[in-house]
Amino acid sequence: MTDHDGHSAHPKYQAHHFKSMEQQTAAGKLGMWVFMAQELLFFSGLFCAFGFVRYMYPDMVSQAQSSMDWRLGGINSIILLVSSLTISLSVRSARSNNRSGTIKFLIATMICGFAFLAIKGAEWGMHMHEGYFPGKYFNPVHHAEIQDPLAHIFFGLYYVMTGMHGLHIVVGLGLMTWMLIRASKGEFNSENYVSLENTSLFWHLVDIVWIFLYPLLYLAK
Amino acid sequence: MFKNFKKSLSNNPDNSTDHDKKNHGLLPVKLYLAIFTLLLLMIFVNIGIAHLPLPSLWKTIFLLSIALIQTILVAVFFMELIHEDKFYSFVFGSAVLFMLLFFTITLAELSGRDFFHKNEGIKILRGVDQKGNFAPGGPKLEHKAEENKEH
Amino acid sequence: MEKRDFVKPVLFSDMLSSHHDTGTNYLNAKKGFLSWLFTVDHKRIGVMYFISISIFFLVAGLFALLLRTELMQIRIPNATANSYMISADHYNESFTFHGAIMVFLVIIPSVPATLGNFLLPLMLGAKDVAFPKLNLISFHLYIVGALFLVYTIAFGGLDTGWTFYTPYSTQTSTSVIAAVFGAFILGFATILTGVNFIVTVHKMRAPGMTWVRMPLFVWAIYATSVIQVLATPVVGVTLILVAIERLLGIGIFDSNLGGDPILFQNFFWFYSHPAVYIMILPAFGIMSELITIHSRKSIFGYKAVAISSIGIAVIGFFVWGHHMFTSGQSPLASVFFSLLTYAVAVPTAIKVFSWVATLYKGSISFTAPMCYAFVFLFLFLIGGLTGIFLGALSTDVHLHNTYFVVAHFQYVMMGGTIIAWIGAIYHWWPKITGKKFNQTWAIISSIVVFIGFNLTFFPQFVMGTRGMPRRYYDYLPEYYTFHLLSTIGSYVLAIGLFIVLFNWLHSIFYGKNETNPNPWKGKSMEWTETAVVPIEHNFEKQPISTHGPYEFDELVKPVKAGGH
Repeated sequence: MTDHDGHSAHPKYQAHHFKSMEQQTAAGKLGMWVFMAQELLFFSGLFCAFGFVRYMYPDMVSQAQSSMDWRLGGINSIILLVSSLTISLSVRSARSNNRSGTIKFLIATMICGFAFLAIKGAEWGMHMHEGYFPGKYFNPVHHAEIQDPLAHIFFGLYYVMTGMHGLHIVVGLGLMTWMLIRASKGEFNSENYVSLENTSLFWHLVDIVWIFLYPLLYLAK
Repeated sequence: MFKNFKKSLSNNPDNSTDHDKKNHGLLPVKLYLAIFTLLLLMIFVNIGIAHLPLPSLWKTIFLLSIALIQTILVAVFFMELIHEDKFYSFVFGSAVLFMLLFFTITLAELSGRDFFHKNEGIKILRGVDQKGNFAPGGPKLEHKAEENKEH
Repeated sequence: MEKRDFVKPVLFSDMLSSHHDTGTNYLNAKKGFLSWLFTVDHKRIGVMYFISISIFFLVAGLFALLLRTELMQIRIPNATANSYMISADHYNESFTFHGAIMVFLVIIPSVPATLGNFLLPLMLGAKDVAFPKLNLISFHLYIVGALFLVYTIAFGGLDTGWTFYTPYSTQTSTSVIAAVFGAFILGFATILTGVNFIVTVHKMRAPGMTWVRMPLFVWAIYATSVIQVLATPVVGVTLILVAIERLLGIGIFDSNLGGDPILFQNFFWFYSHPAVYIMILPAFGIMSELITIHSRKSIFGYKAVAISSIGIAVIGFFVWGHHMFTSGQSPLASVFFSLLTYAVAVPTAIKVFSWVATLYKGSISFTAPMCYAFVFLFLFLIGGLTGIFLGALSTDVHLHNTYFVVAHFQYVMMGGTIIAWIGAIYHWWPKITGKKFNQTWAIISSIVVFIGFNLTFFPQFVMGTRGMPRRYYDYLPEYYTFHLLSTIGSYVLAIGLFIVLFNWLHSIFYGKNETNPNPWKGKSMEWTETAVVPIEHNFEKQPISTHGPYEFDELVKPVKAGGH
């Protein structure tokens, strides 16, 4: 985040206001962890709203959850887990000065990310096919299983939560694209890797959010 | 975890970059794969729990406990909290703590709305009128009509 | 007085570094509008925030004058929504814009964004903040968010009150979505600034600067940043949910659709209560600086004041329900919130006692910043004490949503934060601009502001206890005298604030250059280690911290800064 070509007296990727690469790396990492604290609080609002809805309408939520396909959700969980592994290995490769490893694992992570989005999109499509649109557009077709008129609340929240999560996946993919470009230019090495590590931290947080989303939305009936 | 904090509170002049200098070693690939396998296993455990004939509350508790363990594993190993400056764990931990306090207080507030009224036999209808219908524009649920006083 | 050639467009920064200047400094190091718009220099960013905030303060203040003028009109019997000088709908929009602009665009950024940005690296002996480019992005986001609010003013309006309570905000036809989106972007700017400051304080301190050698202003900004990072995302997600509820009708907040309005209030106040601590903690930090320097005495109880900043930040997260005592929230939760509200008053009191104890046997000089510090002490004390009335459940039932609440928060927010901010701008004016300001007019302004402020808001306490509700366009004739006094007071207050503005402008255009790099004889690094106006990289060489920031070694009055 703070890298740019420094003066001749500084190491190549050190910004002018830092005294050493260690300080820059430490500052970058601390900044990312503080940022992730706020990301956590951001999602916490959505989880709290979900808790509320579950408390207020337990029967409706239970019925609506029967339309959630735990198999697709499970596959998504596994995909995200694999992507977590690959991005960790990518950072490890960067720190071992293994440029091709860095790039290969980054690409693998991105493929997982796209696969996740594809499956999520398919799930949304299936729901919308049944007429389970969010909020005021909720209009279940005649043969749909869920006809509870209040189910629009659950589905609205479902779309918002998974949508927000999906948005963060997209942002993560964007960050990884940028990292890919920089990696292919050979920017990452055992000294200069903090941007890549920060991206991986972000991706792991997205994984953690899904670790909680999956049981709450799909499994806890 | 406050070792560095305490050190900097003393009159030690060289405090700012001391603990940044040592660059932690890399974790072995086998460890990553082991954690991966463990997490994969836990996904299946979660799915298994979901299919057990348990009461809903217990199911949720078990599922969330497993999710919590998964989170800790991801945070400690994949995010490398295990050998980073302990302050990062403190940052993440405090965020989690604040989040949990937010949930607890808000949900306690929700569930405690009738705390004082329950014993007095007063039931407050929320969001519905005497017939049990929601407000105009909302859904109509005649079967929810109950004979209750509204105070 | 020198005459200036106003026909030729002169860049603001060139004006400040005139032919008497002492070489290049951050103001004239790079020239041109774009060099300011895309700067990564924290000092320039602070100055740009300062100009923006002053402009928005003026705009929101004009809305307030509009409100007060309407309320001064003599009541007529059988009034309708159009009986008075502005219609009832426009009245609702006026107080909404006054509140929203003041809270989101002025008070929350005021001290952290202007003075925090300018001073933090200087006080820590660093070249810049930890993430200078992120700092610039924060500023740009601030402007974008502000533009959304400006759009809302121009197209569609907003009449929900700055608190956006549902179900009205999900049903009204005004531009709620644009407004909440603007507030969301502003929140994001706040978060990034908070992240920046936390990392700066942790990682960029000068060699030798331990945590207990930092100026208390830095402690205050640090505590503020922690709150900013933890609380703002919750209001971000809440506002997004309001927007989505308007668009899609999800039904979480609107009871018509099966939702719960109190849930919105819980989410909203989870941020907005810590937000008031974001507003006041930096002002507390300023007070620690002003009182120590202008009474030539070290702060009484440094560690107590520092820890109390953190204490307020932490406890302040758990008192949000005291805004909702009468909204139908769980009475059990209300008891809990009331108890903690009293707890959070304790660290605040510790600070006030510390400042007063600092003044004792100090060598007090009544410079303009010190006058403002005294005004702060008086006004904040009243504001804080009246909060105690509101924190008790039984009295709050009578006082909630009356003018008592309005007067309480005006005393703490404006009487607290804004007064401290103005005092601080005067205090650091020579360092920021390199000019002297007219001390006499500055002191006069503090007196006029003090009189005007009390005349405006003290009657509001009284009419609040007698039942006058807030946000009301019309009222019973028995409250007329109070409203009249209040409006006259608001004009006096406006005059005082305009004196401040003209004083600043006069200093920029006609003021003599400051030649002393440390006119108040401070001991912290922003005074002792910099030139009259700091150079672009702050320091010629890395300063080393060898003593605390309040170790004044002589009890002499500083050379009188300011003057004509």
